Amino acid sequence: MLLTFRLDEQQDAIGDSVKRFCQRSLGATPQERQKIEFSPNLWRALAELGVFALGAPGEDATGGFLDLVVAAEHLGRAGFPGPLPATILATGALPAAEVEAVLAGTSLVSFGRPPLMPWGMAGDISLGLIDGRVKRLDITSRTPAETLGGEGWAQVEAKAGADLGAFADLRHRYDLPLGALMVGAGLAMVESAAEHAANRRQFGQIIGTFQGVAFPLAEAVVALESAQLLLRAAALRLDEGAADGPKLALAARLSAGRAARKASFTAHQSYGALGATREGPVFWLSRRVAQWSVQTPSDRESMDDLPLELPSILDTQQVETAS
Amino acid sequence: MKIALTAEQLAFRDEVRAFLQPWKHLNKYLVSENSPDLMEFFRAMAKRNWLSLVWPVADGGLGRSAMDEFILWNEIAYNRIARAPHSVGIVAKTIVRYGTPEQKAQWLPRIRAMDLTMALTYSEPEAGSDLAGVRCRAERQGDHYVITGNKCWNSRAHQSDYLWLLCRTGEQSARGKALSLIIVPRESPGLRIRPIEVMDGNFFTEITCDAVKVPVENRIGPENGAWSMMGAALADERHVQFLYGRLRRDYEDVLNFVRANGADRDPVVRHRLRELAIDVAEAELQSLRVAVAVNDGIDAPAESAANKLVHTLVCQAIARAAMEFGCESAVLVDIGIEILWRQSMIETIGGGTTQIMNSVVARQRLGLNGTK
Ligand SMILES: Cc1cc2nc3c(=O)[nH]c(=O)nc-3n(C[C@H](O)[C@H](O)[C@H](O)COP(=O)(O)OP(=O)(O)OC[C@H]3O[C@@H](n4cnc5c(N)ncnc54)[C@H](O)[C@@H]3O)c2cc1C
Repeated sequence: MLLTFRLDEQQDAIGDSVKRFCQRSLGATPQERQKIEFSPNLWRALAELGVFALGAPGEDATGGFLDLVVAAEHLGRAGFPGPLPATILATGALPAAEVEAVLAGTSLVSFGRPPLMPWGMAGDISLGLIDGRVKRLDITSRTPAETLGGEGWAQVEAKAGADLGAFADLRHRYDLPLGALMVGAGLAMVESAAEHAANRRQFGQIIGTFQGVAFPLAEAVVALESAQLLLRAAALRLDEGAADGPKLALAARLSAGRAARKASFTAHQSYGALGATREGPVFWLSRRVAQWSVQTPSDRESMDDLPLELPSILDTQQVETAS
Repeated sequence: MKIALTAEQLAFRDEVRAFLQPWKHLNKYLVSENSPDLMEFFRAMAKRNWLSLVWPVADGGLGRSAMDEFILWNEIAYNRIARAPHSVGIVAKTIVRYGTPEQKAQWLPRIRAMDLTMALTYSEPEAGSDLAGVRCRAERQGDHYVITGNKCWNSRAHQSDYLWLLCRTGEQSARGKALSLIIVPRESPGLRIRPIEVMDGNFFTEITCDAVKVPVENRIGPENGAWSMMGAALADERHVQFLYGRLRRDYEDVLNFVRANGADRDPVVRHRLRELAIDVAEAELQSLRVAVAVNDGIDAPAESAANKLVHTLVCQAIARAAMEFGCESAVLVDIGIEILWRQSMIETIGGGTTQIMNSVVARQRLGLNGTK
């Protein structure tokens, strides 16, 4: 059968190992997880798991883009902190000599559009998106900037250096992991809110029996699953070397963004006041989704790069795989 | 994970595309069974045995896979020629599963050849979404049933040869456990059928059965056993009900329309078109997911409900957007945009409403019994 949505054993194994790793390193509950902040040690531990080498070019790769998407979905569910999309982008943009340290988790990548740089305080390598090109940045000063997502951003003064290529040629490496993080976070929020709705009683009823509660959650999960299917399909096509893979990856990232934002609001609402608390079950993920949607290149700006004609996914099948 | 067709499936798709060439002018879609043009088209399909593509060989079919059936109807949907007729789908597949050898011999060859058509006669004035509340009664009198009651919203029943009628053969309080399926000739004495025009140019009907007499052998399956039979038929048909080809074509037509009017220079219009392009890509994967499940014999109610939700809402979103882009010619009947708007309104009602589909997803996927 050439049509199946089941993941293979390797992908299941990658998913399981990332899930177990998140449990070990962040704890098992949202309460524990949201207290864990980014640290270089945590980042190196994730690197040791081999996640950064998924989808890496050439011999560095320990797996493909689909493997990466599976791993990133789990990281998104667990709210794992750190610049994953920038890291995956860098493995495709930097010279091999520098990629090694990125893969090892010893060089942290900050990617953005100066003066505001996500992960700009901790970044060892800074890459800028300037006039559609990815360029090396020489940072001359940095000041911490507090953000909604709670990540260490910086206001920087920077000089643009070497040109590493057109962002359009590299962006699938950014879009795929970003989309997968959003889908993972969205699913975690909706499933958690559904569990709450299946237990909480008001007016003598489980609130999940109210359609006003159940239907928005159903709509949110359908949107997330659509995005998940599209992300995985895009990753598959990139692994197959299809020319349309990058376009599909961009569509998938945008699909994931809108689904995850919808999931955030629905989850907040379903929890009532509990959903509005700073250390509650939703905010730790929803704030990240909001930040991922707007950080450079934002969903809004990325939308303008999407062609008006997207190919049918089946039509992009690589004919030799059908023999 | 793999998303590709086999060499045989690709060859079949090409064969279907070639077959459809002379029929492309039928680009109306959904003016469904019984229109004379379409009958000619269906008979051309019947010559290739494509109406019975997946029926077992022993029952006169080609025994092909659900995936082939998906490929066939998806190409037809892309050309907006027709939907799969109820007779060859729900009705025939139910007869294949539950009919006696005599019933199979009586009905299947004629259905396969498009020599007869059937109208799905389930809904009633008091039983729409809540189909288990059907009241139309069939009383057993010797070797006949005598049927009395009302039906409504039945697509083109006034032009069908037979009704595939859902009726009560037991207690009202037994709900779904006391329903049977009976084939009723349209010309039966006591049967009155009034057409009602739908906003898309199609016809529903309103039906009155006043002591309509039908032989007991016209009942398919066990008495009072209709509910599970209908569930099985629904599962058999999931992959051909909502097909992404249709959405792809709607989107392409709207994009061409927008370009012809120069509205694509407006960034707001382009933004909305891109949202729709993403919607269409999502819908393709949703429908492939259902096709794979049906092909593999897996019951996938939540996935099917999700597919229906996505398809019908996207279909509406495309049509609504086209009407809201500010191009005045969208209202001209000849241009072919306003028909999308008229037609898409009904998609979220027939075959289970959006709300009912949301309930299925809430229950099956999230464990929420959203009934209030
Ligand atoms: C194009 C088209 C073709 C059709 N073809 C046929 C056919 O061939 N044969 C046939 O028998 N019937 C046919 N129907 C009828 C169709 O099956 C019914 O319209 C459908 O089941 C809904 O029933 P209703 O119209 O009575 O609406 P109702 O059930 O009265 O629903 C009205 C509104 O209430 C909502 N609602 C109902 N129950 C709930 C609930 N529990 N929770 C939340 N909301 C709820 C619905 O979603 C809807 O918005 C067709 C309908 C259409 C539009």
